[in-house]
Amino acid sequence: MIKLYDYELSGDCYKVRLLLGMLRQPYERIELDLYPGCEHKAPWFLAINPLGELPVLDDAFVLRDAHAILVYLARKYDATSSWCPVDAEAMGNITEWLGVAQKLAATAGAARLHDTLFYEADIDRCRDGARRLLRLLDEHLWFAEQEGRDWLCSRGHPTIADVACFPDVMLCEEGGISRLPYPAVRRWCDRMKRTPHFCTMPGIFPARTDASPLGMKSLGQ
Amino acid sequence: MESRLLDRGMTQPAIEAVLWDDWHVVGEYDSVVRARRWSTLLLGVSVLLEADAAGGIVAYADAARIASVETRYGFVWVCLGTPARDIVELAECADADRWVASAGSVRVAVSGLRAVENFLDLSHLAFVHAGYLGEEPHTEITQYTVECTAEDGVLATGCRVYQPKASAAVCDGYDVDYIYAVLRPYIVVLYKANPVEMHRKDMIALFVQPVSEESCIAHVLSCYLKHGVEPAALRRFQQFIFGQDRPILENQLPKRLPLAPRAEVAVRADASSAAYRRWLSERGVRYGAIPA
Amino acid sequence: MTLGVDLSATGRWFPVARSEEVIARHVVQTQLLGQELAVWRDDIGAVNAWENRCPHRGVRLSIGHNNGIELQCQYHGWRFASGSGQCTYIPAHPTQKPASTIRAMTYAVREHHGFVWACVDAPAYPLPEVPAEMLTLRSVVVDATHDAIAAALLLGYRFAADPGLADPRGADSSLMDADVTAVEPFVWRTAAIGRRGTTVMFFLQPHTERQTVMHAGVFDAAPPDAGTARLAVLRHHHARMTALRDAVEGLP
Repeated sequence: MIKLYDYELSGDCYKVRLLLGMLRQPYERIELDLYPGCEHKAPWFLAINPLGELPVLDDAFVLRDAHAILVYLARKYDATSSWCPVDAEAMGNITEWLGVAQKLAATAGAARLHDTLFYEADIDRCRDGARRLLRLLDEHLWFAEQEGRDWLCSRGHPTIADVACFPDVMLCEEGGISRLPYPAVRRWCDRMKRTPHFCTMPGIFPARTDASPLGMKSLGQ
Repeated sequence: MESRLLDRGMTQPAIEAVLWDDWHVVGEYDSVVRARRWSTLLLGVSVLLEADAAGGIVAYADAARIASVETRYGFVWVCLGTPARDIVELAECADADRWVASAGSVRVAVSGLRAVENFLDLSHLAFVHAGYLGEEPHTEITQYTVECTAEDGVLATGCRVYQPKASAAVCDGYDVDYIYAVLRPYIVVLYKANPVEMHRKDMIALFVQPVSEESCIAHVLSCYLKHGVEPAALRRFQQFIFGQDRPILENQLPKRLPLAPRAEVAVRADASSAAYRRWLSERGVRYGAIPA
Repeated sequence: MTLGVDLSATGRWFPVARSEEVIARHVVQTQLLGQELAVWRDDIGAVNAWENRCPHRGVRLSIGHNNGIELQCQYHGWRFASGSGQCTYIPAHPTQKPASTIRAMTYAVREHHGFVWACVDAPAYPLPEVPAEMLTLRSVVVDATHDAIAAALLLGYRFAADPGLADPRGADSSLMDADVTAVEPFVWRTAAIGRRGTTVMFFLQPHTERQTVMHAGVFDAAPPDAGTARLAVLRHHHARMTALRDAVEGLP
């Protein structure tokens, strides 16, 4: 059974939980008391990851770093090769956007940790940086829609690039960054939430699939 | 409202005595000791906490020493004025068969009064905490009793909600009985029947630190009977639940709590929040509110 | 919550979204003259522009759900009907009909030639005249006042009538500086350039005092050649408009 060293409110951990869910892979969560307990800096955990960071995956092979874990899980468990295709262009593209996801974590993610859990950060610089990235993301997604593509790197199916960018974008309002000026990003977030086997975390509400019990005939009243 | 003079002779913008002369949590004790220096804001005033190697805490408001500093229930409390009464008494925290676990502190960009009102609210449980504290279609809120008492603030009893996973200790769903008590304008406690010892109650306290009129820090304390729960699980559960409330609170407009009875629409299920708003008005609370 | 000082904006219709972006089962979050709006389309196709605030406890409706006939608030699940904004269902009291006084605040809304338009007070003017065959371009958000954008537009808008041939760096001689004139407050038009008489129109939507959306559309006096690449036109004007945005925002 895959083991995931994890913290509920961590965006990076959520990236891994999201993909594990969408890959339908069962796993055991080992939840650390990151806040306020600082358990990720405890000696027993530093022995597992000397960087003292979450998430860490143990699949009889220990891997740290959320994006590395996404690549590994997609290659190991996705028989369709949709989440991380191996052709050169796809891999290049995905890696490009994993780089953007890293920048989103350092800006929007850091702003969120500052605003919620008292992490130190140059908050204005983080927010400005996040807004620049969101602007870029909005342009990219808008033109993708015009070309019939629903996702960052691909047409009909999300990749790990989408999984990697989603949490820090979806939670950016917790860091004082509004999504109002980014309508294409908001549509992409809705599409992510409707992906089969999507799971939420605190701060993210699920899409609803129910129709109103009133039925269509109530329109026009 | 009277103005207050700090030691340096500065005049503080008048803040009502009911808040100024009362105790407020300004930090979780263990976090303050670990950090050695802890800077925060209370009612718009800069507060600095300094911890020595022995774990003693000294507090300053705008560089003037704060006389009233206490550690209670795992949190650091200060009073910026002259305490009119003691820190709230939570007798359950002394029970030997309970875990008393802080779930930590979370910043929220909304008036603390909105955070207290959210804690009192029953009809959001099936939507914001779906699958845990409530579940559709069990959304109906049956009539409950609300009373205002001079000492206890607002007391809501007879509240009942179907919960699929009511606490860290429980696996199956059942109807849970709740009691809510607003003890201070920014402090509220809830009691829910323990699943094993049904005649006794688990308790969760929310100590809200008013940072500014439109922002606060929520300090959460769990005080659960020990049956089948570990403190770490309690902490995780409270952080999880509060994490679900936070985006709701931060998307409320206006950020301050309107106290006029018709400012926002209320239905019968909102009886405790309507009583809370009236009670705040009667006590002259203005900080974090839009007065009636 | 509305901007009080801009009298020229009172009673006017402003575009608040491109029609094709107000998709089913989604809620658009936008802002007009300081007033936040939740803009959404029901399953029959009718559009709504509401105050982005549930009347119950003030939670933004844009974090709620469009179920095709109602907007449902995320906080307590209250539902509000398309068109009237009337509250149809309060889950805490599921067998009771909500009082008819409980409703979301609705604003005047129209769908017209590629945009959804809203007015946050009583409409006192007709909708701006817009050519039916106009191709709407990507709307560009500018962190500046609408006056600052207007000032930049008055200096002219540089674009190519045939973007397939234009150098994206802007050095190509097929780019022309077209004069821009005001049609009415917040609406601007370039002179027609090129052999087909290509014109660009700009529609400014003030979000707040510090942020404005530049909506735009392009149209030709004569029918376009077969094979004019729509995507090339969109990309070209996007590059030109972001250059204008960067100039207004003072970026290098």
